[in-house]
Amino acid sequence: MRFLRCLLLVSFAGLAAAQSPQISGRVVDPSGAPVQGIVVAIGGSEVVTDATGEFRTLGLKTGNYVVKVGRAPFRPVSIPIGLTSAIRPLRIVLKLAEVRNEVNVTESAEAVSTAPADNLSAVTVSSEELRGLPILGTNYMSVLQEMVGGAGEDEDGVTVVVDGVEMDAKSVPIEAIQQVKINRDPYTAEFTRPGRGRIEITTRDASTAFHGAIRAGLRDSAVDARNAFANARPDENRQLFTGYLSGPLDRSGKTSFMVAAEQENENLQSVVYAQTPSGLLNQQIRTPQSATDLMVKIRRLVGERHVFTVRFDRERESAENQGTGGFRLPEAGFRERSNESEFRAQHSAFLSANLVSDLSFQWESSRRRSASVSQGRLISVADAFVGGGAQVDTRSDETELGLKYVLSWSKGKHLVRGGMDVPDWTRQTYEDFGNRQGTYQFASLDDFRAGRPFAFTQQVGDGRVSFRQRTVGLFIQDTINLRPGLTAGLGLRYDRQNFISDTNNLAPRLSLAWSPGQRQKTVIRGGSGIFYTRLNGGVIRDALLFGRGDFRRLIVSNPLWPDPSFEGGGAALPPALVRMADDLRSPYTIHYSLGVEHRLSARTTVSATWRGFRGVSAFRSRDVNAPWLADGQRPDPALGIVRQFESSGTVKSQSLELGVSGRLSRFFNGSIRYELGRVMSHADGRDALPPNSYNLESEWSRSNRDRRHRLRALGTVPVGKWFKAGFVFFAATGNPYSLITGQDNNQDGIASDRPAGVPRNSLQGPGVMRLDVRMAREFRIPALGGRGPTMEATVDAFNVLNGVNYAGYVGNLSSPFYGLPVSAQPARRLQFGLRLTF
Amino acid sequence: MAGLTRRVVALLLFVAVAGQAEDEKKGRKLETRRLKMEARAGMMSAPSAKDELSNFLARETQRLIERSRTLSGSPYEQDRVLEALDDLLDARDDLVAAGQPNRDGKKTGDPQRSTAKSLERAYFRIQQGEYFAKLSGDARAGEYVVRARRLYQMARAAYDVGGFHRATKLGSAGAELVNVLENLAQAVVRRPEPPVLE
Repeated sequence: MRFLRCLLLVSFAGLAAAQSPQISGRVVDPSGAPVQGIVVAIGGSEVVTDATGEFRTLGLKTGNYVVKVGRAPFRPVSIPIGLTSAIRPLRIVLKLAEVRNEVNVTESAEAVSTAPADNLSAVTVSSEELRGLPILGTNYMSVLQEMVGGAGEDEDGVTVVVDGVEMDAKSVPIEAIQQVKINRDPYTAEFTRPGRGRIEITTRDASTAFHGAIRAGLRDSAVDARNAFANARPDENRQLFTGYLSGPLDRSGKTSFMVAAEQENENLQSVVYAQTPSGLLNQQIRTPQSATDLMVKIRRLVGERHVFTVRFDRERESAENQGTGGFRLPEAGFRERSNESEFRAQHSAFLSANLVSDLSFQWESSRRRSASVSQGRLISVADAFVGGGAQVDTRSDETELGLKYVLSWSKGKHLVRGGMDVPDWTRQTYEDFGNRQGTYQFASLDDFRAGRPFAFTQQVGDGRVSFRQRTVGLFIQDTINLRPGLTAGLGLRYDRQNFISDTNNLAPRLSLAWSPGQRQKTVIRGGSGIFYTRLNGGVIRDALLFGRGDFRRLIVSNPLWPDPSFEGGGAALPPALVRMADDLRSPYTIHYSLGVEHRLSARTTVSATWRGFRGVSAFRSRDVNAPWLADGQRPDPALGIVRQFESSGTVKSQSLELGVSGRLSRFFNGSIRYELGRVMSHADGRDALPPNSYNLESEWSRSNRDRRHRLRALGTVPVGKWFKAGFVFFAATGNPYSLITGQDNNQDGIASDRPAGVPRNSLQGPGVMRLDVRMAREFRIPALGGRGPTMEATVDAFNVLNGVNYAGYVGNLSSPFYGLPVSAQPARRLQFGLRLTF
Repeated sequence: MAGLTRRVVALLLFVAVAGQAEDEKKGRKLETRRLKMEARAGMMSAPSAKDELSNFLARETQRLIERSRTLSGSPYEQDRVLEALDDLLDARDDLVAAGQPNRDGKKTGDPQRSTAKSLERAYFRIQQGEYFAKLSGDARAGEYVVRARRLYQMARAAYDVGGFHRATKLGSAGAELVNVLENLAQAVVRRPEPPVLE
């Protein structure tokens, strides 16, 4: 019923919609090949076309504009545009200078493009649209990741690509974003990850006229609803300040800059809901966080053929009382600090009309620290409570270099891009001071009351490790317009990484798009490709740290309580080891898809895509020194758990996605997608140890990411003359979870045993449904008149229907909370904002 | 009513036949695997009378082949014994390769370092030998442990004089002998099942 109510609400929001003005399009050369890196001037601002020749303007107001495009060897062109509402994308065909100047400006034909980068299953969000969506603070990544996620997402997560270069999950300031693309050209060989594993962010370009914006946001729990597990409404508030300024640095306008910054302070609270020996503990605890991000970008045009860009980004974050909430008591929290700096230099050279060179170099440095808020042994009572000192004290320093060189060449029917990609050349130093005082583990509250722990673990020795991780890739991609309405993409990529001796990592990629008939309203699009997985730095760190002998994790089964009383500081106890298998190889995933895209009208498209992937040699762990009998006796009694990291797993996924986007009527502009999917796997993560390390095949079951149904919708729309509304709607069936006994039945030191005959992830978790809405009112500042600054007032409502979305159920049969939820996602929250644009 | 009964009986018959077919399929697979193993063992050259270790491996190969032939009625046990036989044949291959020059043709980093790593793994595995020997209850299990240790000592000696390829292969042969014991242990001692959900 709730689901239907939401659907109706989404539809209603759509009925009251219309589109905000913007100018977008594509610039192509006489052969129809996209022209990358050409400057498109619109009014006082400038944008640069991306690799597909596309451009999109920033937030424009209605009025008359002149679109200017020009760079040798093309003749400059000027196109007057009367912008009264959203217009269709432009197609600008440039002619060479020596040929008679002829400009073709067409409102994008009603045909559907067969270019690989024009797949309709992709999601494109402009800065204007992003600004119109309800986003909690500056956390736009969570909204974007929800669009990426689904059965089509493999286990390697999402890579963020900023201005064409892959980087870690670090984000850029929200005001610095010009455009975001997701799932564009899924099978290009240019990137290590497939379309569903990439979020491509184009940062805002420096402009030749001064532009800027300042935004302030405020959230206070006085207007929020109460969390389902909290006794009272939490005392929370958030202050947010963001802004950007862009303009010329010299009179010629050839050097320009852009500065974006954001500062966010949050006073949040977590809800502890745990069963302790003295009864149910339901308490709220402050978890304040703050983040600062500054980004500076300078661009210089040298002559007509060279563009130099340098960018510097610095981010600082701090958070208190992390990890608390649910079963975890306030005393078991920890604080985190992180600093990240990034410098990037890019050079684009237009060597000739059909040859473009792009070189990018980046340097990143990051420091992370975490420290427990209290000292003492950690006491973990399975699915009842976790108390004592968190003991997560760690220090990590990382310096990363990156290099990417791409040469683009277009001739006739071919657009070829090839080059070298060094996404990761990293030096990491890690110091582990965690679990020095030890952790007692109890299978149940009754065992705790009886003083009967099933395990005691402790880390001793030198926890410092330093290593270099290197990944190098080469790629070539050819996009061939075989004939009108038929386009093929052929690519080949090779990746090599250290720590894995396997060098046979060739990854072919193929895509094909065919539009039958003259009108080309329908495109059948398919493709397949191999994508290799990079070894996680955490795995290398653990293998080096626990493999060398001077840093040990001691595990004692059925220890004494409350003092384990080791002799000689535990030197005689069998240590736990972590190691990589001898035959460890680079896992790879074969992705494939077949879809139909159809344009219903000039601005509305529907698509149906069947996609899947098969993960081969997927990473998983097992204990190669596990007891065979339930007597706790290990094959090598001198050692404890020997966690071997191996590439022997399989993951399979298939899904069907139905989507509609654009303007369904004159009232609706947005995107609605439904996905039916299935994911099966051998393990829930690389580090999870199976209950039976001698029979890994018995672990083949549903993945914990296996959500059958997902419905996503988003849009940014004006409501009547006065307000603009934006919404994000997400509904999905729950993630499955495992039924466990909560006991260490096989005495292997891990209490993750399942009852006989019960597969992994056999239980179904609770579904989620959320609707976030933004209402905005824009007005000019009357005193300044004309086309002066504008002010926008916004109200965001998150989980506006105030539905309870449980974070999960407890599957531990020994827990007093078995079958029950213990935490929920936040209830309805409101956020107010003001934005001044000039 | 009669129609319904007929349908139910037909369904039960179908399930029974399908189940039987599945069992037969498993049985056929095991039989094919056994024949392949025997063929592989038959292709191996006979050891010289002086080579005690090779003689032991040849004798054990024959013994495990005989044992696997008698186990067609118990698929789990037969599967484990065939797995043990496979490991034994791998050990024989390693032993032969140890006496020959390196023909892998791969140059993967520092051979001394990779051999040391490989011997470390072999040591760990051979340390587990006694545990599985005890579990297996096999009369000859003790001989496996002794020979696995001897192979490791030979590997260490080869390593010390710079024979890295030989050291790797001898260490691997020793570890394979422990793999044989693990599979023999699994064949006779079932791992305890977790409790049944009530």
